[in-house]
Amino acid sequence: MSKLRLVLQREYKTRVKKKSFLLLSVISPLIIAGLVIAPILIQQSTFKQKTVLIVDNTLALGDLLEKNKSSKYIHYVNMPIDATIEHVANRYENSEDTMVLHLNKNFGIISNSPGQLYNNGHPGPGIIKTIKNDCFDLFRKIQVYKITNLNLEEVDKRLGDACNIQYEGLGINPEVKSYLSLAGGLLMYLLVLIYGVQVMKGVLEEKSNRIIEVVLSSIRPVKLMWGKILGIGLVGITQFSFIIISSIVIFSVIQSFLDIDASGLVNDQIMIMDTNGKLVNANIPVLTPEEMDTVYAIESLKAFLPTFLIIMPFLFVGGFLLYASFFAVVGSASNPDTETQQYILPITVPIILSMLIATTIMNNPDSNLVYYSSMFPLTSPIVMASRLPYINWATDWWQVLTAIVLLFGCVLFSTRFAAKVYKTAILMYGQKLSYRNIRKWFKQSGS
Amino acid sequence: MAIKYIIKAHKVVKRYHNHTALNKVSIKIPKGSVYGLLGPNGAGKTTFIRLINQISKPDKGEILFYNKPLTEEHIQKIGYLPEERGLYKKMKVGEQAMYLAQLKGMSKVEAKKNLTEWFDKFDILDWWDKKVEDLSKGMAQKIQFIVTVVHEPELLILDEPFSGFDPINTELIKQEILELKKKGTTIIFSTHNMQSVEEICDHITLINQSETIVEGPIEEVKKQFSQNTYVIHFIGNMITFTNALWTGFELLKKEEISKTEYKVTVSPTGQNSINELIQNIIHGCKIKSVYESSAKMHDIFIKAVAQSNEPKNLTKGIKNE
Repeated sequence: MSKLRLVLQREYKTRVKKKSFLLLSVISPLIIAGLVIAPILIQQSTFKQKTVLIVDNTLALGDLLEKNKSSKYIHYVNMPIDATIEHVANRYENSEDTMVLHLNKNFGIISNSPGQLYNNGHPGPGIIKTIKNDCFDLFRKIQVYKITNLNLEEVDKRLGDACNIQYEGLGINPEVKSYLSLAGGLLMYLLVLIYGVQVMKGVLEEKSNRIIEVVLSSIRPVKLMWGKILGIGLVGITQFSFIIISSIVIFSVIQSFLDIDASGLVNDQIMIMDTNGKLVNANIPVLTPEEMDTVYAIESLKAFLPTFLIIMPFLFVGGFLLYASFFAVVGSASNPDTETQQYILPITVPIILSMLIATTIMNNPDSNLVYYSSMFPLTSPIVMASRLPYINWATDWWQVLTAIVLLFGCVLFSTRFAAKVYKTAILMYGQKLSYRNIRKWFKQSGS
Repeated sequence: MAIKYIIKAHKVVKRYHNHTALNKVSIKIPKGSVYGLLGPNGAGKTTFIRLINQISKPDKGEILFYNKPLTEEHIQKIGYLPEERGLYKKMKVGEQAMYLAQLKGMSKVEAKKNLTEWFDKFDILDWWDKKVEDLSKGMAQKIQFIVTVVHEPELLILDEPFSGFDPINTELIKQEILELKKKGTTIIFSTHNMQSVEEICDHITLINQSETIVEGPIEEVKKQFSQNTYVIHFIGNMITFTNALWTGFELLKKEEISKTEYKVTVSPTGQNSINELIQNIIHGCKIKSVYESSAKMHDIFIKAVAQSNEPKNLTKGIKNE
């Protein structure tokens, strides 16, 4: 086995076996999933499914209300006209989750008051509000038609189409886009910073343990440095893959758990009264707004995933190698008792600055600052990762390519610089960490 | 023809920024010898060892391994135990020993086999799954020694190998070193402990201020620094002995063992032979032993370093004036 591979393997195995690695890999997707699933779970706990028996005195609107429901947690059952009081009472009394809505005969045309709602449990304000809204919506449609002769079903249908065109045109829901942008930038920021610092700590550990001289009698310094950087980089890629894969699994579970098919949103056909009072098909979403958000989020994630999976590894590898080489320099030039903070700061400033720029992308993705910093090598890994959801691949592909080429060009220089300083500095004990010494060690190993 | 020297360093120069660590150092290390690499702190010993280990490269001159310039292949033929040695604290002992053995070019199977034998020999097999941070300093030193020799190197470089060991373990390691010497391993032994140099080494080089100041087989070096003094152990009258010194000898030291038994150190004042003194005292004293007092490595070290520093100090003094 080659020595580089041996070092790489050791660096990788010792880190992957750590509890903190497993913890971060498991917790991160759970946090992301938690943010998505929590509102739904909260909603579910407050919205227990209720059956509402409609005793329809209007003789026409019960059926419409039955199909005009806005929540899947409410199940309207329009009782037959010939149903006896005993029959309704029997069903009502046998279940806590059954309510009776007694529609007034004047509801809809003359009155906006639907009638009385009976329940023998504790339905909660959410359920009552939803029933009220459903009734009011029906009343509104009837009144609008009565006054303006305008069929609101047609209006909704057109609005719905307009919305669909907007989403399809831009690929991803704009709101979700901003979240993806922030998530991409944040993920890259954390990976580059966490694993960059790990390289520095690893180098410093070997130096302070005094094992460095033993190891260097078996392997060339530059190979050792590369083994360490690549090993830790692979840990980062593993963690990244772990987070992505487990996120996909978790979102798939959420999707199946919700039992939602996004394509069904526009196809769910329900009957509603048209302008002439006839029942016609209409496209009305049957999900709550929270569920719709989740569906759009999942669909947007699916649409964005290929771009994310192809480009992010390049940005991570480039960004990590760039910063890891700087961190390796600080690690090799430091002593165990040296204060490294002031030398880490110049490395972390561009990383933090990149993250700050990334947070502005959702408000102004086309600004000059975003444009240039997404291609400047010191900021591009994080800013471009954050800008990815806003990239129009038909026209902007070259910007991503330029960013990656410039980044890897810069990596060539940074790793050569690091290797030169590292091989001299790693064996220097008792010498102060200073820019002067770093320059001296760089020149010294020039031959 | 058999190659006599395992390492030949020819006019090696190594500079660090404004400091010359080695200045035209030439050393020949005979195959199968225990070679003492001596010198005060900062003399350039560690720099020389690092050059042999290819941790750094000489700026001028060359180092040959069996008459061939050092290459990466030679790394696995060398075992190096540095003075400042450590282990990865969070790793398990066995796992770490395997890693370091494989870095020396051993296969996994070979490394496991040899390590098990060494662990068994040192009776530490049950440490295999322990974490290094749980070991004492002495225990860690044993592991370090094992990983230095596990790949059966032809050249073993030991820098202060006994530091951190108690007397029992020092003896254990000393015996292992002598055992390895018997098997034909060449050993470069760098230490400040002159007693162990006398016990183990058969050749030495003394480096001071980046230059070689003394080199050769230890007996020759001792002769070179011999002060022409003799130790006479006798039973008899001290006055009789003192009277005999008129033959041209100076009394340097007197040790009274009993009222009639003495051990004295004398030195001839001219070209006289010890025989003349013996002839004069043999009638009045019973001689138990006579031997030439050889120089101790400790004294040679101090004397040679002082001599080497003298002209430079003088020059420095003149410059300052």
